[in-house]
Amino acid sequence: MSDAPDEGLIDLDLTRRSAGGDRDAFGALVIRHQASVYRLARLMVKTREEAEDVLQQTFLAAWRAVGGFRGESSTRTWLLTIARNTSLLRRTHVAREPIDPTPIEELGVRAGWGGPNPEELAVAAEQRDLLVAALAALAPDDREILTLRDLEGLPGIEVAEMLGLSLAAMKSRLHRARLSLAVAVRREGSHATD
Amino acid sequence: MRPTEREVAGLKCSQVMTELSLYLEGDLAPRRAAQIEEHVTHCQACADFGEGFRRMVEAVRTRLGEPEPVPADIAATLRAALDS
Repeated sequence: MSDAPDEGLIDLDLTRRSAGGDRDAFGALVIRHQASVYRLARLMVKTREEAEDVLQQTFLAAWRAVGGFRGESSTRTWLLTIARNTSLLRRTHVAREPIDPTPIEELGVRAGWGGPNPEELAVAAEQRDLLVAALAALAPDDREILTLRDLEGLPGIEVAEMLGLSLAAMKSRLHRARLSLAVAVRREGSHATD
Repeated sequence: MRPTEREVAGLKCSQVMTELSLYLEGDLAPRRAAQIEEHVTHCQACADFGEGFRRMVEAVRTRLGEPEPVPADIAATLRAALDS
């Protein structure tokens, strides 16, 4: 059995102490989670300055609200939910992108399903820079769910709740986002070899 | 071009492709998961795509999972805002 501390228990302890007014405990939470919050903000808003603003607003809001945190989700999910909502407020004046109507089988074909070069997806995915570029090329909603589920590793049920989806709908959206990523990875990979 | 649709182990190739994430997450009933495993044993196209897809998801998690540090100037501004 690993002796590594349970990160969730550490967060819970810090959150409870923060709720009691312990600024040092809250500061520790900020250090532990600011990178994740900033990453989500950078993916959801347009500029570095806006992301910085979201980061500040998130933790200021969290400090004000920590007394009401009931631990129904993880601390990270709670913070990322605040960050997401803060980011979304900045997008109210921007028309949301329409839901991609591409049939999933067509998405699969574009991702390489049944294609002549089955190894190119796996080979391309080994290159970090290529993955980063492919992720950046995705629609915002696809980037968001991939960030929450695959990069942050949040539980599926918490991601579903955060996005206002049923668990089944979240899983379906996640798979479509992953297929879209595969399309982008193959495209970036083909550019790299041009 | 759409791949040739085959039915192996009671599943069509399109069904396997559609349920790949559910399979990788362990969200399928054991019988369904076993059908997918049987299908890919006998369908090279689905085996190849499934392996590439699995490696891509794993690469995303392992290579991109750790966020980059917040830029020092931004972290300092945040600390100042919280301290005020």
